[in-house]
Amino acid sequence: MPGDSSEPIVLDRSLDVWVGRFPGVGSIRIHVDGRTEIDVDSSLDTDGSSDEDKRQALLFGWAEPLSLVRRGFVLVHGLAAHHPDRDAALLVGGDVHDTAVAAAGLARRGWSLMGDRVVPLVLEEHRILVHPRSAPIVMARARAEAAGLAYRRLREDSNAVAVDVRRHGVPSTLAGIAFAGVRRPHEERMRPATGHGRFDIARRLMGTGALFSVDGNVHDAMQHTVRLASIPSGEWRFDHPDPDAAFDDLIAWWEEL
Amino acid sequence: MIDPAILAAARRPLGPGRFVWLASYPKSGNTWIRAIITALGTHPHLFTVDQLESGAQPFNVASSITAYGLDSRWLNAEETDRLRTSLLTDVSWFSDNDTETPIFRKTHEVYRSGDPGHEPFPATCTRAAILVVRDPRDVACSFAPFFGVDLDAAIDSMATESWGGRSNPALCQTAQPWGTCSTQIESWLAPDVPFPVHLVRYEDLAVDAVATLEPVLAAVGLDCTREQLAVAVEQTRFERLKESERQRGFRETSPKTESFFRSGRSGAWREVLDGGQVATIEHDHRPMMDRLGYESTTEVLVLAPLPAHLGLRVRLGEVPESLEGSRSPKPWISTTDSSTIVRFGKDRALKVDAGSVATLQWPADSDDVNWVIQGWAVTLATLQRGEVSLHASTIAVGGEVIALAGRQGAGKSTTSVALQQRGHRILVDDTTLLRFEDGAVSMTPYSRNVHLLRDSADALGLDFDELPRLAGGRIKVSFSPEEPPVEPRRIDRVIVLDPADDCSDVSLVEVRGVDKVSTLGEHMARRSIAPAILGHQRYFELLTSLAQAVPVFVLSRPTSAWSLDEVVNLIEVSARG
Repeated sequence: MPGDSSEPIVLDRSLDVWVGRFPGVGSIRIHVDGRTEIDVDSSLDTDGSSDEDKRQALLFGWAEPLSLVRRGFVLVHGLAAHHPDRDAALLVGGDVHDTAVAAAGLARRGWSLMGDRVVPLVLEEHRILVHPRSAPIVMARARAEAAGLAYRRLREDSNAVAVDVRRHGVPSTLAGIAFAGVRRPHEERMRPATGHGRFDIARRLMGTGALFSVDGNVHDAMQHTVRLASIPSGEWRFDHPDPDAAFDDLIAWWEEL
Repeated sequence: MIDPAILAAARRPLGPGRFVWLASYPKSGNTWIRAIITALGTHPHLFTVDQLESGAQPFNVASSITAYGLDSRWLNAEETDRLRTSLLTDVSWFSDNDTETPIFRKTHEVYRSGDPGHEPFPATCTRAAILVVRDPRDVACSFAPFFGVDLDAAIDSMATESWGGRSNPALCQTAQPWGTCSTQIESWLAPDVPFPVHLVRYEDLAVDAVATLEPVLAAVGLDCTREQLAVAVEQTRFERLKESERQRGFRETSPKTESFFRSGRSGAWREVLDGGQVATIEHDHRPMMDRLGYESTTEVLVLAPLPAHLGLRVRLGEVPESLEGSRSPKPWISTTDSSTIVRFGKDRALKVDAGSVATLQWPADSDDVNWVIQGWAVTLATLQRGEVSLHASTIAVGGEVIALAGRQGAGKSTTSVALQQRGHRILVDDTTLLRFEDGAVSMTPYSRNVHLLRDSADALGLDFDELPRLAGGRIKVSFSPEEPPVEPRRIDRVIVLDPADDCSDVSLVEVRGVDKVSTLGEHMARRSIAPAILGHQRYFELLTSLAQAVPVFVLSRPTSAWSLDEVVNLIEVSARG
């Protein structure tokens, strides 16, 4: 049954089974081992297509990120892309607009994408591994069209689409981090970060709140940030609305790592 | 002097929540207040402009990933709206248990209440609002470089309700309507806003920020002493913010400009804006300026606003003597493919560009000049867009839409008002803008003042001496009959009003064949210059299309010994088929 849309949106992580509810969309349950259950608040349409859209929204937009938390991954905000020549992963931080620019541009240049919005990491002793996500890569329809990417719409009354891009489906070593943003007139397109700059980039990537393990503490968060700061990183600035030149600088930096 | 009602808005009881909205139209001083508030909570040696808090505007719901682990890009527009409300009202994910300290949040949006569960600014989590305003003439000077546009474009944007009306789930954003520089402010000062709204004028901050802010911050529950506030104000002097931005950068700086903090001076517009730009801003925002105590410097023509769906922006300013490479179908008109100048005498002129911008040069002390805009400017813009208009009033008579054409003095306006008095609806008077689609012709309704001579007003029972007088020396009155609908209406028939000395009865006869084209041709608006703007081929194509699509009738009547009722009766009978 459709939920009352004036009811609150809830995420309860206080019990063994985490429960999330978005009235009118549905509910999720995340078990201790990361297993997920989804209940859709059915719509009134006859072909059920919007129910399937809601199910995918609950699965990829909500249950999967929380499941990754429960499975012990360290979650960071951003986009992960893999380059076959190097067999290594690039993490691109920034807001959803900036990482979507990166996703479209890297996909056009032959990179495989591993996940966007949140990316699961495993911090091993001598390396950081990026794990692929199963959720589709999402961006605005207009951006997908401008990049010539095939897509399918996620929901009615939304401009968000899932794009058909090459995916990399196995874990990959993280080799570099670029923090994306729109370039201002006086800025360089790629500025490698050093010292505190690296720590600052790492800090901005780290997931907090619901993306942070309930068992985690400030010490863990600090350790994760320091580990992430050990990876070479830089501030990447693209021109709006034509970011092409900036990709050349990003890739030149990547190739020198 | 500030409108006393504004001061009363600050005396409403505090709301139950912690949020204090820092509301402003862009480039009005919001960032300066945020800098002062941030500096209040920061050691003076550590404060830099890049630490500014409260910059996350409520339309951005990306924080749902932190609050709920939810990637909001998978939601539709309605769900995104609900998420915004939930993120504001759900205190469970706040990191502290403090219920007293205010949380300041910047917004450029218009205030609106919203349905339950969809409130953009929920009263339950709101304590108060601080509305930061600035002289719109100075706003324009700051707006232009910040958004990388010229001053005229900035002035146009400030008067246009077009930005941010749609949600953008792919970017985790709800709609964020700014309104115009006037409607944004008016929305927060409206009497139905359910929490206190404290007005802060940028100009008062510039004179004495401590004295201006101290009572406001105390009223919203921010604890600080006068001395602490004075230190924070000193930390955030304009020159210091500018230097801090130069040294450390500022993440809120527009990509289109090198620095966020440019001049900061009040009254700088006097050195930047030309007379036409000042007059246009004062025309666009005069009621708001009056309420906020910003004095106008010019006698400004009072023009009725054109509806947004006409897509025509009106500016006041100088019109050049001529256009390069222009044609002159009449001695007082010069035109190119995209621009037209019409001169109405020595110091009166109109220029229309690209079907979208009209510039009016006219003495400020004139009577009603809306006829120049509502008639000339609109019809010229229509021609520049490749369409035509009919010199006709259009009335919805029962279920039929009838265009009443006729030469000047034929009685179009009088007949229209008489039909309105019988309960029919005037869609437009005197100028019917035509749209051609799939073999049918529709018209675009808009509010155009009705012009009546004394004898017509008398015949309609209107008091001629009490109605506004039309400018231009003609002894007519001019008034707005009613607000028409926005949606285009299909035209079912054209009736040409034709008073003739040799006519003895009121009669209605359908025109057929090639006569339809010539009859309609006589009543096209601006027919002497339309071919010069449209090109002859396009003009005659449209004329022929009109003749093919719509039945045309001529309503003949004597010039004396006739009654308005007879004419109106015949039109009503005609409309019933």
